[in-house]
Amino acid sequence: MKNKLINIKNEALAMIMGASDTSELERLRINYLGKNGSLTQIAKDFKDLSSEEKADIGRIFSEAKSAIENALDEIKFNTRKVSENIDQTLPGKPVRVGLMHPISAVAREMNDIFRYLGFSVADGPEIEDDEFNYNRLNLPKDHPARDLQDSLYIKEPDILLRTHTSSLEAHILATHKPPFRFVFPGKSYRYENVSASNHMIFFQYEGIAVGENITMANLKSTLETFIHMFFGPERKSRFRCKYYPQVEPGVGVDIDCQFCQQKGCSVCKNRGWVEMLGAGMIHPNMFRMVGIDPAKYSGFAWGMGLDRITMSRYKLNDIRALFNGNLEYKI
Amino acid sequence: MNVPLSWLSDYVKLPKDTKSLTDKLTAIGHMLDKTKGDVIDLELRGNRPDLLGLIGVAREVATVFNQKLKLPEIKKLPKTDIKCPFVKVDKAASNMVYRYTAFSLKVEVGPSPDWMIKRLASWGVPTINNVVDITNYVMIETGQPMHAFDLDKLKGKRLSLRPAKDGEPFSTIQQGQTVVLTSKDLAICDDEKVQCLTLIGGLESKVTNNTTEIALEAATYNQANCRRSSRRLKIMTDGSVRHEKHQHPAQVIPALERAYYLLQKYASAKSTSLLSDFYPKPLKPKSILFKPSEVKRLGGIEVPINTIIKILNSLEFKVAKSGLNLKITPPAFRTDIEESADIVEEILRIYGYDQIPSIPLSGVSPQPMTYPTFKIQETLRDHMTKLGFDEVITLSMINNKLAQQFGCDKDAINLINPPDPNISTLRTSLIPGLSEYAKKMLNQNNLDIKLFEVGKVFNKHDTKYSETIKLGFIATGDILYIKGVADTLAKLLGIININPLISQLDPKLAFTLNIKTPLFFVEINVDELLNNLPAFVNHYAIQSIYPPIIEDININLSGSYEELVNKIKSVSPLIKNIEFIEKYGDKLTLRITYHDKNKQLSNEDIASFREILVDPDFHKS
Repeated sequence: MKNKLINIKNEALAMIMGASDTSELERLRINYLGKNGSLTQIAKDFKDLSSEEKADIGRIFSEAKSAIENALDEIKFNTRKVSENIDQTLPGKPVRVGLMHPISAVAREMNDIFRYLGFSVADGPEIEDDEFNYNRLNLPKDHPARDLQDSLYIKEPDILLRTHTSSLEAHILATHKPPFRFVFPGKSYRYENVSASNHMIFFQYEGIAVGENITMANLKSTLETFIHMFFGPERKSRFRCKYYPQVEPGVGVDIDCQFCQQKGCSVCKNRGWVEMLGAGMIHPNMFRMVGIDPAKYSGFAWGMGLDRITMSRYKLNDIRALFNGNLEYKI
Repeated sequence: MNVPLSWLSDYVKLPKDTKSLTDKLTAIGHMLDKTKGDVIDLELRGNRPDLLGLIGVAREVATVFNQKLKLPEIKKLPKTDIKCPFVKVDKAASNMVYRYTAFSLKVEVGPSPDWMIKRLASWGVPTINNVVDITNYVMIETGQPMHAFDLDKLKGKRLSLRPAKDGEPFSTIQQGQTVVLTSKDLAICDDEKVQCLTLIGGLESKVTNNTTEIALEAATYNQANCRRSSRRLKIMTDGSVRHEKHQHPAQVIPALERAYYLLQKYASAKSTSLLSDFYPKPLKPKSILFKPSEVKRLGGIEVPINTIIKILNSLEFKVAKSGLNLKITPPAFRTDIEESADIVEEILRIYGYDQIPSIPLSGVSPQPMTYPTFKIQETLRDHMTKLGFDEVITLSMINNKLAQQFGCDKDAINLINPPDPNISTLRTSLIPGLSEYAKKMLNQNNLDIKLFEVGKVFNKHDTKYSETIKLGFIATGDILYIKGVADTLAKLLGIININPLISQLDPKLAFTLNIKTPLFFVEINVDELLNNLPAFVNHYAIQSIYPPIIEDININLSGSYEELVNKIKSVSPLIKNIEFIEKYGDKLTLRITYHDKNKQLSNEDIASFREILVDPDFHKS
């Protein structure tokens, strides 16, 4: 009887799927579920079963019955014309999607641009030692710039959480032979009391290109292309001299202040320009430390605040919201 | 650095338009922070101590606007007494001080002239008396700090420099401020006690209206040591800021000469001693052999050789031709110039970064070599968002108690100096952070939670530290839902077993954490995943043009579901899909799809297989 029931169900489902109009569906309903329908008939034999069998068969029976009913309902619904009874001015059913974290989304936008310019993407350790976090970046012990970077230590004096993604620059220089081009978005850590504008975790986006005959003119073109593709073709940028221990000559890149159309406002401190990134030609000391000949090879590097750019892109004015559950995902 | 423009114009002719001045200064590396009336505030460059004096700023202005630098008037110092009777430096302090130069003068203390009081005020220092004001005035002009002592207050009328004793007290010139020194601080003493530090003078020997004779000093100290003293004692002065920078010891003399001139003029000063000049290792000027072609090689722009020489000369670099190269000697105050690349920057910043053309990178593009460790994270982001999960980023350091509650404190790494002592455990799992995040969302009445994070976790094994990339996801619903997510993820990745840790958040723990909705989570080791990742996954095939036969069967489950499925599949190659419908006791309802590529199946084709499947003994292992 069990097999019979399952056969009836399978046969019914196949017939329903193959039905071509509503009258056929109605005929099928009567055929299986009607007073003299095959399911109804089989139920009449239940009285001869043992109670144990009854429970088992009964379950299969009701499952078969509801499967047939559901199939009929579904087909009916699907064949009904959409416009018949539905007010189409009502909103559609919301569809839930997953979104990337804004930091990941911006990093991806940037990666796409730099891939187009021939860069690959690198990543690396977040636990660093003094050598890679400082020494290799032309920041020897007692360098004044070290003071600006209050580190989070794991083991003093030399194991710490990286204070910048530049440590990865040191790793890349140590492991790759020129020519190469890399970008690297990543997490960095500093001793910082958490507030709306500062956090002990922050994100940077850096890049490096090394080879023969790489010049500041290439640096300019690469970063201008990035700025136009990322911020918009109408945006203006300016390159000025700036000091960073990792580069020589050093470059600061500003973009025009959008808030005041360069008329001067509190965002740009009345400068008309907003500081966007730091860059420059890789310092010869950085090459020497890894045995790359600075007289033969040259290269440029740059770095920017991925979290700052993300916050301004999505108008999020509290850095804590990037991590603490106060971020709304709008779809 | 505050730069009062009317004062600056003593040393160089300024352009009429302040904006064109500040724009140029910004372009060559001294960015305008803000303008306050007559005073412009320039951002300090870490490596240019010469710009901590107005003359240094004037020199830059003279260079960019093609003007002449007018140095202020000076008075030659008394001759040097080679016995250096006035200054003794303890051997233990010889690494702390490079040069210490002093002499004594009779003075008439009184008020400063009005113009000087006004200038000091515009820069931001109050007037004290003519002697103290002159030391401040000269520091602002030259960048070289100096100090005047009341000579009569110095026991023994001489100075000795030694490391301070641990616990030694010192009263600073600021009324009431007493600090406790350590052996790492340099103490400048008379015969009895500490009278001055590198960063601030002492109360006892300060110059007052009753002072008749002074000791005037200017010095160059070990910069790092000054910086550490300043941090340790929590004292920052205009002097300490300058001593922390890499000042050249040669700067001491012109600064004292200038002070001597002003003291004669405005305090009727007369020297009463020769010069004591402690300077055991005088620095010699360094010269750099420079290839002019380096400008093009690094800068991407050709600068005519005559222009190069003109720029360097105007910055007071000495330039001599040496064959095709140049032998360049930077002035002493340019302690930042060490090699060829530094000279390229000098030339280019004055020539103008805006003159550099924009030229795309050329040559063969390096082979794409994005790191697999990065690529897999991007792939996981794609797959998880496809599966309807939102990505979050939680902190790498978690609350110590939370770590303990999750049992994540065993081989965890702790921060030595966390800003918040309660949050010092580096996470060994993403789940505690994700649970906290989910809890916050539940409290905001978001009841349908699907979150994931890709990130590093950290472990300690004895003295070794390691970090591993993990994927964690957490959701409301039920365990089979989250297992389904893991299963689909595995299919998308093309890995049969992604070794997920699948679990419900322990109800007892959930209760302690005040989480009232059941949460289910999965955590996967991404580094391991990477080892098993196929280079290529085929998610596609051509569907048979013949209709399948789909039917439900009931079957007893003994053993695992996976075994059963494999057993069913082995019955016939026509069985293309097995779908789980429901479970009742030990009985499973499964939906079997029979399909053949080459023909339409009939009932007879599958009857024999069906019989095997429905045989009660089929799955009795």
